[in-house]
Amino acid sequence: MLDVYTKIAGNKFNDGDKKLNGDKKRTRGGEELFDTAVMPRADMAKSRQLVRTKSGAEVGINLSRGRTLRHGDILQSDNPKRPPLIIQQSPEKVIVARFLAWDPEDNYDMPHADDYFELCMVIGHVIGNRHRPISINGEEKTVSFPIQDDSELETFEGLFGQAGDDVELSIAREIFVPHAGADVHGHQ
Amino acid sequence: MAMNERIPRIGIGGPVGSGKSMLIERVVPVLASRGYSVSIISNDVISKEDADRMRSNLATERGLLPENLVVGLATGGCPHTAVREDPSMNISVIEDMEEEHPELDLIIIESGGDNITTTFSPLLADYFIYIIDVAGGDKYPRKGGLGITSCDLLVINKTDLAPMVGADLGVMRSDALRIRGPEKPFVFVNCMTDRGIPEVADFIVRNLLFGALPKAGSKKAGESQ
Repeated sequence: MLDVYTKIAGNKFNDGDKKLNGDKKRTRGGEELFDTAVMPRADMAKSRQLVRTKSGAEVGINLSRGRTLRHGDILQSDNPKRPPLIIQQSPEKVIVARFLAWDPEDNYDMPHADDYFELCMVIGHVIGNRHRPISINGEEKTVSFPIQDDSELETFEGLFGQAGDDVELSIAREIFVPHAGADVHGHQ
Repeated sequence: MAMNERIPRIGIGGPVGSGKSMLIERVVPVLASRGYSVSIISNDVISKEDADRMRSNLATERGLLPENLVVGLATGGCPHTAVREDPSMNISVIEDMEEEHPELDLIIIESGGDNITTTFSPLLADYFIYIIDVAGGDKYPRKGGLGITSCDLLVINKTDLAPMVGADLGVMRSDALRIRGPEKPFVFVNCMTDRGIPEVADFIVRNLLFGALPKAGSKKAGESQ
């Protein structure tokens, strides 16, 4: 029987630093203070799974009903000899759509969209219609969504049509955290 | 509502005729012989034929599990919706099983035959097996699709037919490794000869059950009746 992690003790980005001294201090007297498991976003939604940790150990994760993982979660094992396990979500390929103009006061001339409302609706409609989850960055005025292949950049440029002239598309790799209000039943 | 212990669950999906039910009929006896108690939920669009056949074979004739632990669900709509978008029908059956049969070690959920984008909601299944067969063509693994890319274990069935349908198992092997990555396993299976079936059972015990021994102890299934 493998060691099994059953409890989420905290999150590295919220309350974990006190317990872990950040990422820098990994050992004390040669003893591991914590272990790390890297997993794709799809696996974050699983409450039961086997993972191979960075230290090479195979361990189980079995959370209580309805619990899922978040980037930075710190898990505790039933076996007190196992160090805490930090969950690290792996980056994935996304398209970032940057809205070229936002403030109606600025001088950017929007060649096609009548107004920002229309532009947002069209871009949102196209992305949602392809069943992609989105991540919104209000400060940067960007929206990103996962893709599997670079060729999708061209696909979406076509799909956005004229509205695409008012956004700038680029490909990036990021730790993608979907906007909670847009559950699109996981096509991506 | 009282919460019973959550019993580990496997989802098995794949195209029509790829061998989902047959895989279950072959792997359940192996798990039972190792002492594990299993129940089966079989989803289909209209009929309950697969469930009836598995019940007759595994329960009525061989006594590997009680007849009422093979449940057929006629889902009505697109097969993937009942296991992905809205798994409530299945979850309701599972919660009844968890309440009435806490002795179960695992629950197998078979989806209706569907296309290559079938996946299971993580709310429903903990471990996802996707099964294809060589007769679908050796191009199948490299075509990708969510089922093939996201499943925990890819099973490639009917290897005995490969020479007859011109499928190259070497191509399927290298494509599966390339598309899924070297970390994600696949198994060649022939349900007629049980080739690969013990390996599938090994993956289930290791990756889903974390190597736990049967709840009822490791005696043979027949002795626990």
